[in-house]
This record gives sequence, C-alpha cells and structure tokens, in this order.
Amino acid sequence: MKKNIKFYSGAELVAKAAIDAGCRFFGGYPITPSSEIAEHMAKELPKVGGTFIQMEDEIAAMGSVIGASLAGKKSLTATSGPGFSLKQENLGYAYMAEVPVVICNVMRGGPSTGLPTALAQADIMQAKWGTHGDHPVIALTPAYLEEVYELTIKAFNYSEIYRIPVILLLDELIAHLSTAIELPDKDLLVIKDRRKPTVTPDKYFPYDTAYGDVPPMANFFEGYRYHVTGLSHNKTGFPTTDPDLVQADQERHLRKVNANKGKIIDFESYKMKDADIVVFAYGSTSRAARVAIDNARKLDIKVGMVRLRVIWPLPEAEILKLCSKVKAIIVPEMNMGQLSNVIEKYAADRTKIVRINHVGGVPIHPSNILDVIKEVR
Amino acid sequence: MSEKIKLPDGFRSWEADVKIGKKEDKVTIGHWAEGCKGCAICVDVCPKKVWKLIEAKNKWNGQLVIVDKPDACIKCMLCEIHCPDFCIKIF
Amino acid sequence: MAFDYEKYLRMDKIPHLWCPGCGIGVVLKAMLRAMENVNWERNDTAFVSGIGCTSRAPGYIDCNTLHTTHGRGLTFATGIKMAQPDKNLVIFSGDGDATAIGGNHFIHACRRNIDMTLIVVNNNIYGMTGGQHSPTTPIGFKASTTIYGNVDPSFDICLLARAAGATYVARSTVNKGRTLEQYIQRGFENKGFSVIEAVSNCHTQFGRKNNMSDPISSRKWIEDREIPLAKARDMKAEDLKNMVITGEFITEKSDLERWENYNRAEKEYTEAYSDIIKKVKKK
Ligand SMILES: Cc1ncc(C[n+]2csc(CCOP(=O)(O)OP(=O)(O)O)c2C)c(N)n1
Ligand code: SF4
Ligand code: SF4
Ligand code: SF4
Repeated sequence: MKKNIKFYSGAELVAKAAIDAGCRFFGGYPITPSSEIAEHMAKELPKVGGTFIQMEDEIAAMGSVIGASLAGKKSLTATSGPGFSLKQENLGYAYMAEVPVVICNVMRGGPSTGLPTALAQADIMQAKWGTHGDHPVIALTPAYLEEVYELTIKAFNYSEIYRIPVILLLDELIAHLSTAIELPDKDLLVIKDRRKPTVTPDKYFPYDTAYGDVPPMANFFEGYRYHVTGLSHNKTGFPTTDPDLVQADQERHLRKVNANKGKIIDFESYKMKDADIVVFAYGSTSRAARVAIDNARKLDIKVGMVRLRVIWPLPEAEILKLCSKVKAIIVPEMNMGQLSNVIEKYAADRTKIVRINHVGGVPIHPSNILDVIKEVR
Repeated sequence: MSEKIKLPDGFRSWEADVKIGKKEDKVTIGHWAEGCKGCAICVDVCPKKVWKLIEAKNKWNGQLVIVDKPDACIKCMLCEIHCPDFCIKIF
Repeated sequence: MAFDYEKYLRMDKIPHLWCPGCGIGVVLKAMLRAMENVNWERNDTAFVSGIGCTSRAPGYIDCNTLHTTHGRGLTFATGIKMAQPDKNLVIFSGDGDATAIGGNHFIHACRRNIDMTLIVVNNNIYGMTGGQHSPTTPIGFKASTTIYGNVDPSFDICLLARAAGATYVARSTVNKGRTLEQYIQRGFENKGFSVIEAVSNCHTQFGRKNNMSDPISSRKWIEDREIPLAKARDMKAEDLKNMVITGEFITEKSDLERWENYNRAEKEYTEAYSDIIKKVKKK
C-alpha cells in the first residue's frame, strides 16, 4: 500500500482533520497563534463546498458556528487565550442548547494580551470553568502531530455523539510544529454524526429524554420547526423555571459526559510498570518529560509518565491509584499550576506533588524535569 | 355568519349590516376575550367608536373590550392590525 | 379580510408575555403579514433573536426559532445563512440588543450585506431589565439609570445602518401597522441586509417614568413626534430634535445605485461565496 506521508504543520492538521471529519463551516477571528488554522480553513473549505467567514470578533465567531451547526453543518472555530475568553458566553449557550461545535484554542500566555507568540498552557482551567454555571467538559490535549489529526477527528465525534461543544487545547509549539507524518487511511476513519430523530415532526421534542441522555437532534429547515433558547428549558425547548425540571436537566447535562467517562478518558502510560515516581504531563511538556524519563532510566531511576491525551474529564481513578502507589508525582506545566492544584487535592497528602511551573514563554527543558526527578528519587 | 368565515375557537362574533361610503356590506367582528388584555388600543384607533372598554375580571388590568356599535364599522382593519394580542378579526 | 395569524403562530404560547398594549405584538403581526405576502414557507424560514422583551418574539412563531444571547442574534443568524444560503433569515432585536451590546455585530452585518432582515423594535429603553436607559433614550428623559434626566446622546438607528452599508433601511412606528408591514416586506424582498426600525411603546418601563404610563399616551407621544422623511429633509436640525423621522432611508434602486454604491460589492455575500465554491471546488 502506498504510504500517505507528507509535511504538515499542527495548524494545517487541525484544518485537515476537521474537513475529513465532515466540518463544512468555519467562523473565526484572527489571533496569534491560532490564525493559521483559519487561513487553512479559508483555503480548503470552499473546495469541499463548505463556507468560511471571518467575523467581527470572537463573540460573533462563536455565535456563527453555533448557528451553522444548528443549520446542519459541522462547525469549527479557532482562537487563542483572549479570544477564548470572549467566546465564553456563547460557549455556555452551546452547552445549554446542546449544539455540537468544536473550538480549537491554541494557548498563549496570559492574563490579558500576555505573551502572544510564546508557548503556554494557560487555559486549562478556562477550558473547564470559563463560562458561568455547571456544564460537562471534554477537552483534548494532543502532543504529537499524528495526535492533532486523530484528536481533532475525535473532538468532532464527541461533539456530535454528546451534543456538546468540545475543546481542542493546543500548545503553540504543537500548532506551529511542522514534520512529515503519515496520516491514517481515510477509509478507515470513524466519523460520527449527530443522531437524527426517527419520529415525525408532530412527535418531535428537541430535548426528549425518552431517547436517553443525548436527545436526537433535528437540524433547522428539516421540517421540525422547534425552538432553541439559552434559558433553562423543558423537553419542548421552551423556557421553564420548574425547579425539578431545571435540576433534572442540569444533572442530565453532566451525566452525558460523566456516565461515559470510561469511553472518553484517554491517557498514555509510559514506563509505568515499575515506576515509583510519576510525571504527570500533557501537550508539549510531555515531550520534554519523555526525554527526561529516558535519561533518568539510564540512571536507574524508576520513573514513568502518565500523559493526558484528554485532559477533561480527568482519569480520577488512575490518579487516586497512583497517589497511594508512588512516592512523588511531578507535574510540569506551562502555567502556575492549574493541573497540579487539582492533582494535589486527589493526593491529599498521600504522596508528594512536585510542581514545575514556567510562565515566561520558554519551554520546560528535559533537564529541568530530570533535575526534579533526581531530587525526589 | 356566512359559510366561509371561520373564527378560531374562543372568539365571540358580532355581525352587522354596514354601509361603507355608499356601498352596502356585511361585517363580522370577532373578539377573543380570553386573550384580550384590555389595553384599549382598539378603542383608540377605531374611527367609528365600535369598541367599548368595560371593567371585567382578567389577569392583566381588570379591563376588557366589547363590540358596542358593530353597525358603525367601516372595515378599515385598524383595530385588527393594531391589537397587539391577536384578539380581533374583521371579516 | 381578517388575517390568519394562527397559521404562523404557536397558539399554545398565546397570549404572549408582553404587557397589555406593548407595541412588540403589533410589529410581530406586521411581520407575519409580510411573510404571507412574500409566500415564505415556514420550514424554510428561521427567526433569530438576542435577549430582551423584543427577543421573545421568535418563540411565538411556528418556524425554526432561535433565542440566543444578548446582542448576538445577528452572529448566530450569519452562521445559519452561511450554512444554508437559500433559507430565509429574520432577526428580532431591541434597541439595546441591536445597538448597545450588539452594536458591533449590527454595523458589520450591515457592511457584509448578507441577505437577511433585521427588525429592531426601538422602545427607547431596556424593557426587560426594568427600564434602564438605552442608546436611543432621548436626552432629558428619565430611566432607572437616568434618574435626573438623560445626558447620554442617542444613535439614529437608520442612519447608522445606512452608513454601515445595509441596502434597505426604513423606519415606521407601531401606530402604522400597514406601513410597517410594507417596509418589512420590502426588506424581505431586498437581496441583501435590510434593517427595519419599528418605533414602539414601552409604557411600562419608559412611559411610567415619563408621564405616559398607559399604551395610548405612549403611542400618542410617538405619533406626535413623527415626521415623514420627505418633510424632514427641508427642516432645520433644531426642529428635528427628538423627532421620529419615518420613511425609507435607502431603497436599493434609488439612492444606492445613484451615489452610495462606491464601496459596495456587486453581489450579495452568500452569492459571491458560492461563486468561489464553484471556482475552486474539487471536481
Ligand atoms: C451579557 C448580558 N448582559 C446583560 C443582560 C441583561 N439584559 C437582558 S435584556 C437587556 C436589555 C433589553 O433591552 P432591549 O435590548 O432594548 O430590549 P427590550 O427589552 O426593550 O425589548 C439587558 C441589559 C444579559 N441578558 N446579558
Ligand atoms: S375595522 Fe375599523 S371601523 Fe371597524 S371596528 Fe375596526 S377600527 Fe373600527
Ligand atoms: S387591542 Fe386587543 S388586547 Fe387591546 S383591548 Fe383591544 S382587543 Fe383587547
Ligand atoms: S416591559 Fe415594555 S417592552 Fe417589555 S413587554 Fe412590557 S411594555 Fe413591552
């Protein structure tokens, strides 16, 4: 078989995967370091009959992708820190109205304009808690270009399966990295589409839980003529303030992801079999960690890595297991400890949590991690 | 009421022979009391004082309108067009 | 002949939630008649809105309806139209929704000139949130945030729309249901972005604070200030202060073609984009 090896950048792969996953609309607003994704989409979408629009700001971009998705087109928007902040209100709307969309956030240093062009992992918590109210979250953190492609497709699949916005968190380094990679055979890709109603319009309710926690979704203009609102609503889609209904609906929303955690959680265990020190990492920092671990192993240090491909939901069970097994968990992050804060809570003094936090824009070097490994051995 | 005029459920109707200019005509005025919020816009816009505001029990403001002088109607449609509540139908 | 509003309404939601005499209902009715005039199919039409009293309008219409976030209706509508360019899009917005929080989307929607119709119900106030002043509250008038009289100047929504590039712009009032219907219909027929401003009464929040707390006096206040565009053209600026200038500010065929199309695209946005698709689409 002829191998499909070509040079791609991370940004290009997000666009390519999106289109291969069936994305046919992109609404965005330029911001470093995510703009290349918009540029690729602007070039590629019309070739497949899709549409691209550069909106007046990120709020508008987020609104446009929700609208396009409701009109039946899988949709992508891409942004970076400050733009991700602007998207938050409409992101909440997508959770509330259960509209599948994918948001790619190429992270940069913050707060505010921060470090526009430098590497950071600043939005781990914004991805989880950026919009107000409780909502389920799926956020993916690819570390390799093959994974950018694979996880972008997954992001679309999850958004369609669970009727939620899915967040793709890219490190600037990953978005701008360019290497030759082999893409999977297109015919072997698993592409999921939203479940459509099987009933006639008179029997259709947009939030009908009779079909499970993820109600079938009719697109606009397909004859179903339903109502969508960001207000708390009942199964008909119209507003309700009935405390029991509102409570039950919020619980259902969370259940969509919580009850399927087993299928969504995704991490790589690297040299973990005999490890008594573990590095907990995601995105580009995990690449440095891998080198550090290989070097530490040469010094007979039993260190391994848990690398999160999906950062939300977290693999809680695995973390709890590790906490009572290993003598230290090292968490290197390009932020001031957004993930380590969470891990610390799970650890509850059963093991030592050691943080490595860089926010100056300079990547964490393998030697930084190796030094810490040596310290805690 | 003639065959082709069909008022929705809940509408009360008043029928009258009217004269519009020199032309003889018939009017059917339908009013939906249950939906009427007694805002009195119909009373205000009607050039012929067909509508009358009365006191009545309703959940908005204790007012309601009824048709007082159907035979004065000139079928200008102003009341139907300006009732904000879909409560008036002129045939 | 009576109009069959029931055909277009979700009757289980009527009576609507607006106050007795609120002008939004009059605008909604004019819109429904215009929709009938242009023969739009309910399945092929979507109504989108932001947040506010006005923005509750789509919920009553038996079509594809979307009640979004405050000021952002146009952005959702833009996405829908880009995804399904052959469908009909109508956006309802209050004056605050359209020109305060949504002001940026408003001017850019006008500039892009995507074939959609925006109906702005201008009641000079923030109705839903309890009567705070809006970008169209006249100078000197009271609102719950201008207790001593407003000093905050107003937008002229139609001039704003026109300057920003909308290709059909018109203003009428809730006292003129037929004219509103006609303007909205022309908006629907215009292949481009249309803005219809319907000057409306919010006697509950605006009227109450300004000595016209019932719908009749509030409507009268609007009527007394109405000046047709043709007449206003010959009037002095000071005589037009706080007046409601009504009429069609742009008709594609007249003004625009003559002198206002120097920076306009030749084609409507979604049509121009389909040309790109045709050109680059993989065989
Ligand atoms: C982001 C955000 N800010 C503020 C509000 C509160 N809010 C709801 S409606 C409204 C103003 C409504 O006024 P207008 O748009 O003029 O519509 P009307 O109610 O008068 O029809 C405001 C400020 C909100 N819902 N969302
Ligand atoms: S149609 Fe005209 S004359 Fe007749 S009741 Fe209505 S407003 Fe009055
Ligand atoms: S205009 Fe309509 S709602 Fe108002 S009083 Fe007349 S019938 Fe009733
Ligand atoms: S508060 Fe004002 S705008 Fe809102 S429904 Fe009442 S009258 Fe209408």
